[in-house]
Amino acid sequence: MLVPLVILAIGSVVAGWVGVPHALGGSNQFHQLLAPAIEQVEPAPSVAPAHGELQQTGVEAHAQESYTETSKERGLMVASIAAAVLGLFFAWLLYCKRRDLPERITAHLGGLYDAVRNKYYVDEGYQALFVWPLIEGSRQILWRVIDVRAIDNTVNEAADGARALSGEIRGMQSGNIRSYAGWVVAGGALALIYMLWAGVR
Amino acid sequence: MIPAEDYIRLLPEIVLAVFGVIVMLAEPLLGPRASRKPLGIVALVGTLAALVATVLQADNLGPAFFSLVRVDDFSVFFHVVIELIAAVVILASLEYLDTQQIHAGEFYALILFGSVGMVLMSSAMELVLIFVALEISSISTYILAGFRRRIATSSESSLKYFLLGSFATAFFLYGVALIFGATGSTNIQDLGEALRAGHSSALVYCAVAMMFVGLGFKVASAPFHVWTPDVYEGAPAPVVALMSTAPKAAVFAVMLRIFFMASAPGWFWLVWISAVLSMFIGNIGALVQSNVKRMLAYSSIAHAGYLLIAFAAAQDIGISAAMFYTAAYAAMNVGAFAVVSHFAAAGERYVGIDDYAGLGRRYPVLAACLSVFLLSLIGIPVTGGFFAKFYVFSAALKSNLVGLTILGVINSAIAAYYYLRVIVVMYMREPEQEEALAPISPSLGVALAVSVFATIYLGVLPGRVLEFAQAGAARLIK
Amino acid sequence: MSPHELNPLILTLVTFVPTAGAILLLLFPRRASSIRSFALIVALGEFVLSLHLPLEFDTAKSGFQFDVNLPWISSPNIHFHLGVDGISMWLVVLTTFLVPLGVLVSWKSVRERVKEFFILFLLLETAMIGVFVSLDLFLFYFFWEASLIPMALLIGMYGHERRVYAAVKFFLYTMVASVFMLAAIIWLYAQTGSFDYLVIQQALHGEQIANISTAAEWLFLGFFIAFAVKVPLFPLHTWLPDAHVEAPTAGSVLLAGVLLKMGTYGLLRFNVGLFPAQAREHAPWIVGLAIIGIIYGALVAMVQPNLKKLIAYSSVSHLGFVVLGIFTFTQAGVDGAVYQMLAHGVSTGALFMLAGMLYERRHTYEISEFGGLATPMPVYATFFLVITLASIGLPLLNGFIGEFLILSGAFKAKAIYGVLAASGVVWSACYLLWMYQRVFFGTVKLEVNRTVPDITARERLALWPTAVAALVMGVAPLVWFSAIDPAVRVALGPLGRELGRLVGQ
Repeated sequence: MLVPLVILAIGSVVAGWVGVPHALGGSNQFHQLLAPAIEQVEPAPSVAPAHGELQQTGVEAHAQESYTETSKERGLMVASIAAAVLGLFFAWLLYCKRRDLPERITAHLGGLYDAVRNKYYVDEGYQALFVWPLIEGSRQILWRVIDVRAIDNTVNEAADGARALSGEIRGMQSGNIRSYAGWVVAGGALALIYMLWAGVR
Repeated sequence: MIPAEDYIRLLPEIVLAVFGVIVMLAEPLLGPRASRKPLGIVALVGTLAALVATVLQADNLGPAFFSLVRVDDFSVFFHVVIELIAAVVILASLEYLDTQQIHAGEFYALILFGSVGMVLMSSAMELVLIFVALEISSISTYILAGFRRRIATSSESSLKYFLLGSFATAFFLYGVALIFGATGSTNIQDLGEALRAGHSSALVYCAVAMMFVGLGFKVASAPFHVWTPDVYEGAPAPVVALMSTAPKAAVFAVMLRIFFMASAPGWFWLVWISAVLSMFIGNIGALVQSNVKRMLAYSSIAHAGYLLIAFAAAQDIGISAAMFYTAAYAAMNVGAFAVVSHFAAAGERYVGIDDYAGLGRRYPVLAACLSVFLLSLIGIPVTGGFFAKFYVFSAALKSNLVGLTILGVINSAIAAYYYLRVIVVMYMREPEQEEALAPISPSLGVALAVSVFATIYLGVLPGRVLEFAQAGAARLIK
Repeated sequence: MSPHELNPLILTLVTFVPTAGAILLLLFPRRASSIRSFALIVALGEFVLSLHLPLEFDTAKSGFQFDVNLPWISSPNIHFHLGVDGISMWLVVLTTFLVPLGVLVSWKSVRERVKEFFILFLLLETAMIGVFVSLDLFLFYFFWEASLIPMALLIGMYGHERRVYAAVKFFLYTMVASVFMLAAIIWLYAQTGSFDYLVIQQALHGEQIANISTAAEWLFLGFFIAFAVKVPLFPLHTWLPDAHVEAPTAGSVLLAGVLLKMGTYGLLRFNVGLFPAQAREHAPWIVGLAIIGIIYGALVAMVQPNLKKLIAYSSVSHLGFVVLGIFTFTQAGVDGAVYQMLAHGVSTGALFMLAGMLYERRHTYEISEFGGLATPMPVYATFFLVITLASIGLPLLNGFIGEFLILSGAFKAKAIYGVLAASGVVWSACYLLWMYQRVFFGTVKLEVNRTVPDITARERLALWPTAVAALVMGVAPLVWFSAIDPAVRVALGPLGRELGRLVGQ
């Protein structure tokens, strides 16, 4: 672990050196490198010249506002360094100087600490709110009910219905000659009645 | 004095009858336990000779025997179809009779005599002659149905067929009598002239109804179909091959003649309802059948329905569609029953659909042939069955019978299931019984080859046959 | 002979070379190795032959190219009329691309009745290509039905436990729906005297047919039913999960990769091409079904314990996108739909290949039986990841282009369509990534998974083309769009207006 950290540290210093901002007297190479890809934002209306002249683009605009910018930049630099130092201090305090403090703090905080530790239960929330309903819903409703029962069973029942109908039709074949002759007579009678009616018309 | 051409115009019938007599005479010459194959060969030669005679006839169109008979493109078409059916059936029966231990050569004679009746039906111009020819073909098939005389179901089917068939033919005869009473003639052409001139009375309508009952019975259309499953189940498989195709073709020819040439009135709704009933009863009834022969019987009923749709369509396109359908249906049905007759083995043991399990693996060629016929019956493209249904639906749509077409199309879809089931059982199930089948005899091989060829030919190049049908149809309505 | 001379013959060759191969296979002795090799050679040769099409395709010409028009039957008037435009050409190439991969994937897994398997496979290829190149409605129906039997037999003879049920279901579902298309085709023939696509299109748009306005409704629905079952569009989709789960791997590859595209192709070519007014009229509920399919398919996919079923439902979802794209009637939407057809074919075909490889090792498709597979099978896991990301629609891979264009078309048509469909992208990421995590990441939970072999050279050979295709299609779509875009423009022409233009070009 040490070697990668050393390498990263050296890299950080180099990168920082290259990108020393104008506020500290350096020439920010990164800014110029990325300039073609980054649009210059128009200056705020209060700063625009009253007679309506439009903004100047490029480094010139930057140079004009350089004084205001520089002080803001410096302030930000100070703030971020301060936060880093503060963090270093607390880390030293909690894990080197007074090793008993972390436990007392977490015990004191109780539930709040657990919540933070478990990422505010966001994962579990997702699971309950989105994942579980989706999966179970798809499994039980979409798959089991609609696909298997509603659609497939409809098809299979149509097939069963055809089978049943076939069984009924089989019943016509009683094996009894007289009933067969009966069918012929019945059909003949119907044909005759129809034709009589058609003929008389 | 009867001119010579008349004999030529009756030549196929004469040839078939002569050969039938020869077979009858030669039958006692063979020993009681000897194979009847020689007689079968003689019969086969007879049918082929009749085929040649029919081709000769084609140049000699015209009426004969005092306009009792008429040879035209229409009759030639049916002559060829029926003679080919008879030839293929005889080929398929050559080994069947030996397997079933049937030693009666009258079998072949009856096929020939039956064919006489059937081809005569397509060229007869007199209703009474039609009746005579109908009886000739029917009686032959009644006897043929009972040919496995040691099996109870065979005799039962023969008796049922005989009783019910006679009953139905009586209806037909009564119709003929009524129409004679109404118009004073039984000649189809005279009838046509009279009826077109407007001399139709209620009596004529009743006559048509009666004739429809009789003829509808013979083609196994609903509601006169009830005999079909029992009779087909009991009769010997090659006989069913004959019964389900040739007499149907002949009787459809008669119906075409009566409805269109004689311009019988009022039959449209009869045909419409009969077509719809036949299709639905046939297809739905077949769904749960476990016996292959019964399933094919129900399928026959359904196909009669599809054919009747063509009747309902307008004249020229409907008639040619019906004729093409008979030819295509004959090819696929004869083939299917030929396979069934071979696979059934001695005593027709294996006629359940489950017995066909794994046939694809054990006997791939036989299974492939059966698959071709089944696919044709479903109506898959590349087979004759597809074009047959296509022409029928085409004719129906052209005549604006949209409802009928939709019903027909739905029925095609329903039917796919039970034909497919056999294919599924053959290819996708493990074989259950291990008994080896007898090898396919050369005669059966030829029969199957001819059927497969005809089925696929009609599916790939139907144009020629359709042209013949159209020529025949045109002749009918002139 | 120069490539140009081949042009009049090329479509006939491309369509029937596989059949010739199948017939030759009939003569082979039953030695699995020679049969397999021959089938592979035929399939590869066919692919190379089909490459002639994009190479010789003239993107400047509109209309159908490589035209073949021979009279076949005089009555009824059926012609052997073949032709491709930018859309169908690439679908043909997709087919010829996937077939050799299917052969490779079946190398070891098909052990019995090998001859019949490859014969059926090649016959299926002819039928599929025939569907895409037919310009005669009868011929189209012929090839459409012809694809049913080989596929049903492949599923029923070489599939898994419930294969017979799945095969019969597949066959009956599709056949029952197609008969209505047959009725429509016959009606059109009865009215126009021709089966030719271009003749009928002319007659319909020129309003030369009697009672066309009432009839067109029914004709549209007749065609629609047949294609909707094939796509498959919710709620007619339930045959697909069963068919996919029970089919052998190569069968699934072709089923998802090509057969489903026959449905979407039909919707574009016939429903929109022949009946634009009815298409526009019915678009709202069709789009509704498509969007339901997108979201429903994705959500149901998420909860599938069976890997193949998951991929099957993902197909329902992805093809919902395609149907949505088509019925936005925008250049972007339809462009995206066509591209998505190709992309889905590649990526889902590859997914099924990957699933099949897993099955060969562990004889199960249950996700719970896997877990942590990245450890024993890192190379396989990588391929799987690439394909999964392509399926999700990650930019730089092929899925992104199609989805993006479809969404942009959907937004242009109606904002709500775009919003709902876009959620589908989210869901697809959900279920695919979750599946990937459960199968590959984490520790190896079951001992048997520790010793699972990584992929072999042959499997690598099958997967590399798909991965490369996924990448190339993702970064260089213009190669395909140069032909597709003009064809889509022509296809949308009858619709009169162009609501949107291709974004980004």
